[in-house]
Parts: sequence; structure tokens; C-alpha cells
Amino acid sequence: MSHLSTLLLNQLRYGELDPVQETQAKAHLQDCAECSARLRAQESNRTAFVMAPVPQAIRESAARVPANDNKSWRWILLAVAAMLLVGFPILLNTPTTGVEELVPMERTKGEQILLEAWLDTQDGPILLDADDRISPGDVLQLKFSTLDRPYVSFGGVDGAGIIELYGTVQAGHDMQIHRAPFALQMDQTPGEQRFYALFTQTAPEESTVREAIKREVVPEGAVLRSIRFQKE
Amino acid sequence: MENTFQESTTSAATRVKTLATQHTVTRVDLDVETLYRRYGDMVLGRCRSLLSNEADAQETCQEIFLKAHRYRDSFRGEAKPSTWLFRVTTTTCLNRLRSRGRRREDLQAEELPIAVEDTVLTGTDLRDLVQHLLDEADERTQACVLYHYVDGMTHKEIGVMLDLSAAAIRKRIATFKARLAKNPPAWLIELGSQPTQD
Repeated sequence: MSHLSTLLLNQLRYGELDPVQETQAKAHLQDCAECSARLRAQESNRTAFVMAPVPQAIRESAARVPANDNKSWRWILLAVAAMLLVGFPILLNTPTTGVEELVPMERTKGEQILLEAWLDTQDGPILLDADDRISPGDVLQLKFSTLDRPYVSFGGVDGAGIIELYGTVQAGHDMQIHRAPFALQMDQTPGEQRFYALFTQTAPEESTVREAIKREVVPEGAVLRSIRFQKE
Repeated sequence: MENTFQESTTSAATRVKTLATQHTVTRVDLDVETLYRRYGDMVLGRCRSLLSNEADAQETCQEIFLKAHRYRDSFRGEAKPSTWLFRVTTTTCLNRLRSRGRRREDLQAEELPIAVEDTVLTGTDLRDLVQHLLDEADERTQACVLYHYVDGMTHKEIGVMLDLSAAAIRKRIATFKARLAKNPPAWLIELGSQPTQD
């Protein structure tokens, strides 16, 4: 007899199964001593858990975010960071040609669509190679060129498989190498850290960018570039 | 360079509202302390089972909830928070085990935390499987095997969890099993004698 999965047992306790799943699970439990014991183990663990205090770090984190805060806070922070990095012209929605920079480095003509990550160091930025090792606290700057796809959407996947979208910029049709209007400080999550840039003709939906990153499937006419590093 | 971050902010907020309406995942549900109170037993229990170290389990559990709070945009519309947290907990624990770089003797000598025996494999069998995973499987296969042998998930359920086909899951598990074929551990022989579901 196959057994109920650990997750399904948890979801049964949490009342998250749909009626059909719940009926099937309960029927299985009536006949399966092993799964019943596993469910009791979860219930017993729950009893002990609710008696213990909520860790300080969790309570402090909850207190830092107002109850009416919405998920836009991260985007707002990124936007503020972007303004600080590229200056107030963005805030005023004025042309920012003056702050776009051409990185002084040789590149092969015809490979204009690119994505690079630069590590901030005391001696100035260093261009990272694929599979370079990075550490928590490191600050990275992404640079890119667009050729004929002016919209660039940035995102990343950390070692835990969490997808994070950083935002979209419109860089124009040109041959220059631009700096993404934000910097990325690495967190503690170890494992492979990937960064993505989706180059499109028009501004993409957030879901399109997420899907491209999640499945590495590129929408028609778009180009996806990625770079990956090992975080220790 | 024209910036569309403000547009993104608006669409993100709209998406959150839609998510709350369709899946009754309200803002309150996503508050980190509420999330912890609701799902902390599952996450902490799993960290204890997989990490076999109380201090690591507590630390990892907190890290997962803080991360869940930080990256709450990553809750997929189609997934329940419990599914999302279960997957992130598994991946985070596997990452932590890999980064520990421990030898088999260290793991076996360690004092076990209060175990939650809610998995198909428990105790020394679970630890033995984890060690085999660290020694002989790539990252994606580690998760597949864990979900299958430890959690009793079908290939299809794992496929949904990892965005892979059931056939790909089956292949990865079969490859892992073949590596152990010369000297199969007792838990594999026992589980192998039971019927499995796709």
C-alpha cells in the first residue's frame, strides 16, 4: 500500500485539502496504521510547538513591517536605490544620457546583447566570470547592452530556488553598455545564485518575466541571458 | 534610460490583491509571525528530521520564515503557502547539508533532536539516505529522491513540486537507485518491495 505524503498530512491538518482530497485522505487513514501514526506524530509536534514562544527574530521582523504594508515595499526600495545610483534625472523622468556609461573594455562586435556582473571591491569593480565564487555581503552590479531590444527585465534565483524579480528598465536602441539601476547585496543563502536579464521589444508583464526565469523559456522575439555563480 | 520600476510596483500590488481574492491568502496570512504560528511546526519538524541537529534546525527554520517574508512575491498563485514552504524548507536543508560538508561519522555521532516521525523513512534510515544523497546525487536528484522515499510522494506530485515531468522524476530516481544496486541499504530493499504509484 502506498502512503500519504508528508506534505499531504500537513495540509490535512491545516484544512487546506479540497473536499475530494480530504475524503480520500481520511479513508486512507482509517486503513493505514502507519500513516495514522505519522499524522499523530505531526499533531503531537504541533502541540509542543504552540507551547513554545515565537523566536525573537521573527517577532522583530514582523514588528518592522507595518500591518498595512503591501508587497510593493521592495520595489519602492529598489526604485530608491536606483535613483541614488543613477541620480535624480530618473526621479524627474528626464533623459539620463549623461549617466549611461560605456564600460571601457574590449568586446567582440556582433555580441552586443550581453549581461555581466561586477563585484564591488576596495580596489574597484571586478568583472566576474561564470561559476566564480561569491559570498554573503558581496555587492554586485549588473551591466548589459541591448542592441535592438530596448526593454530589459532583471531577476534572479538563489540557492533555495527562490525567484526574485528586480524590475524592468527601458534603455533605448543603442550599442552602449549600461549599468542596471540597482545594486545587489548577497544574502546568506548558499548554493548557486543565478541572475537573468530578459531583453524584449516591449515592456513585458511580470508573469512573463517570472515564467522566462522559472522555465528558461523565452517569449518569441525576446532574448534571455543568464549568469551564475556559486555562493558560499 | 527610462525607468519602469514604478509601473512594476503597481502591478505587483495588484497581483497581491488578486492572489488574496482567489486563494484566500490574505495579507494577515502572509505576515511573518502569523505565517510562523501557522506553519512553523511543519517547517521546524522538517528541519529537525533532515538536519539532525537542533541548533541548525532552529536557525534554519527562522531563516526560512524571514526569507518567506522577504520574498513573499514568490508565492506562486497556484500553490498553497504550505507547499511553497515545504519546498523551500527541503531545498534550504539540502543546501545546508551540502555546505556543511560533513563526513558520515560526524552525522552518525551527532545527538538527534526531538524527532518528528511523520515521514516514511525515519531515524537512522533517513540519515543513511541523506548521506547517500550527498555522496551520490546531484542537487535536483537529491530533492526528487527525498520527496519520493522520505515523504512518500508520487512521481506526479514531485513533478508538480519541482516543475519537472513525472518521467524525468522517475528517471532521476531510477538512476539513483541503480547507483545503490551493488550494495543496497536495508531501507531501499524494504521500500523496493512495496508497490509505488506514479
